Amino acid sequence: MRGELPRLNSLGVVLARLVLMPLCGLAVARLLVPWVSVPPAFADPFWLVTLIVTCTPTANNMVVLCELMGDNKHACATTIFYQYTAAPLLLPFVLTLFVSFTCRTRELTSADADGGLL
Amino acid sequence: MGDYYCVGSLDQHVVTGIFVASLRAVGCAATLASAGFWLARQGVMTPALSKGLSTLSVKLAIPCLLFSSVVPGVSAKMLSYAWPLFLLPAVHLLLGCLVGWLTVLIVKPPENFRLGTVAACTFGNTTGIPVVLLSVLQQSLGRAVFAELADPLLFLSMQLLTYPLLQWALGALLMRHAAARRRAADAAAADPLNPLAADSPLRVATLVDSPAGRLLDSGGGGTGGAGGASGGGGGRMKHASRSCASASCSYIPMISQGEDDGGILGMGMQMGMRAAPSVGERLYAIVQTSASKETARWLCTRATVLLRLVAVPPVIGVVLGALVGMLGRGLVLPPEVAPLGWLYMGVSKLGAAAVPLNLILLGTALSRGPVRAAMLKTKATLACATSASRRHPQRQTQAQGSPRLRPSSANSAAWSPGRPTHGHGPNSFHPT
Repeated sequence: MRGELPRLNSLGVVLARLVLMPLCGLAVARLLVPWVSVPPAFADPFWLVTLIVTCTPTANNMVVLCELMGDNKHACATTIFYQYTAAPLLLPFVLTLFVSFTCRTRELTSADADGGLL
Repeated sequence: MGDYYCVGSLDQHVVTGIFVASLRAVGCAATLASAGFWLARQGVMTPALSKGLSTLSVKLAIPCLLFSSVVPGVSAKMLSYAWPLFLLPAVHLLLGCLVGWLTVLIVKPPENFRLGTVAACTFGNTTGIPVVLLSVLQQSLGRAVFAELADPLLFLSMQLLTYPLLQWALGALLMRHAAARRRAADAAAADPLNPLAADSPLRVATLVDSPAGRLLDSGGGGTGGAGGASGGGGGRMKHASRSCASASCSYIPMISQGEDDGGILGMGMQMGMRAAPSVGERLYAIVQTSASKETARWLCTRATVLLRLVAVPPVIGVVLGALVGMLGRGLVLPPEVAPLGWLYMGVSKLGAAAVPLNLILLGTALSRGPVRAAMLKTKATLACATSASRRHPQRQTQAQGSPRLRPSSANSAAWSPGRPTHGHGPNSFHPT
């Protein structure tokens, strides 16, 4: 839309922050699994925490950072607004992915531990 | 098996159950946010009330919640397997930076929002929203009362210890990049008739008023330590403080993370702004009799900045919780019989207010809608203004003297001559 923040820009930031970053977080967690041995009782919350910080909208203090950098703080505020608006639609899917990953990881690590014992 | 989010193999039924639980969690959060939305629409949630609640949340409720989550679970054994959480924020920030640059390459944002796009992709909300999501998910997914040691907020607290410092470091790098970009643009625009020229009266007038311009005036690039500490440095710091406050009360007032207090201000200080007299400066006053005054000044300034960065309220809550949990857990747990159990219960109840408070503030912020006046072309705006000034030099003089008609920043071109700023909404704040 002329005179406003381009919609493609808002959409790009929303997708990058709420879709692409969670996928990157999953990849990082997957790489981390063999290197971290978490007791099964704590595995679910541990892996969920490693993932959940990647699916959150932009921090609101980025508006201040934008102002300090001389960038358009209004555009930053707009993108944050759109992220919070889109979050309820995207979050259930992302959270399902995350929880499925944590459960799967715990199963695998438990199976490995049992196999090692046997 | 109450310690697990799901039991058995991950078949379609289980995944569906997880999805339903996620929907319930988001629905629970949406219900609380709706209350804030409704209160704002009714006029109950005024900006002053929002700001007060935000301060209450950031400085009291969230630290109390983290404290009460850390005390029961922290131990040497837990640290032995969860230590990667201290380093994970660095990985996430670097990944976010890469994703941000990728987004810039793909969507090609306007010139005055390129670094903003990178920052928006890099710096996620790490305190308020994760706390809300984890708390609500915990209730939705836990089939039984969750084991005390498996509180996810315990692990989140570990990430919060290192995140503010890393955020400051990366943010300072971005700001240096912005300053270098600005200097290059100034050098390229040498034509005095060009409204973007370095010595153009219009550009001088706009840059002097902009925070970025003030930073550049102080030497920019983070080199202004001592030099930037003189003159109007106090004003700069006050402006940054006002910016933080206004960001909290006017843009997205909820979930004002602890780094509001330290992170961004720390970045500004790194760029040459002056902090209020503090412990570091008092220390400097003591050691200034030594031979190397400049070194002492530099060290004290850096120590002050570091202290401000690290000692944000959530971090203080986590550190206190870790100390109590590892050294004196028996004093507070179990709270029913421990000597200081009453204190722990009081802190826990304060922390329980964090999630509802944050969600109500989120609903309040969303009720105000997105910004409408943004991203006007800087060159076109300034060219129009310059053209008008050539035709009506007297009017231009008045415009420069009038805060109502003065653009606040050459690069954040949300201002337009004759275009009224919005009188309402989270994004209606304007430094004019």
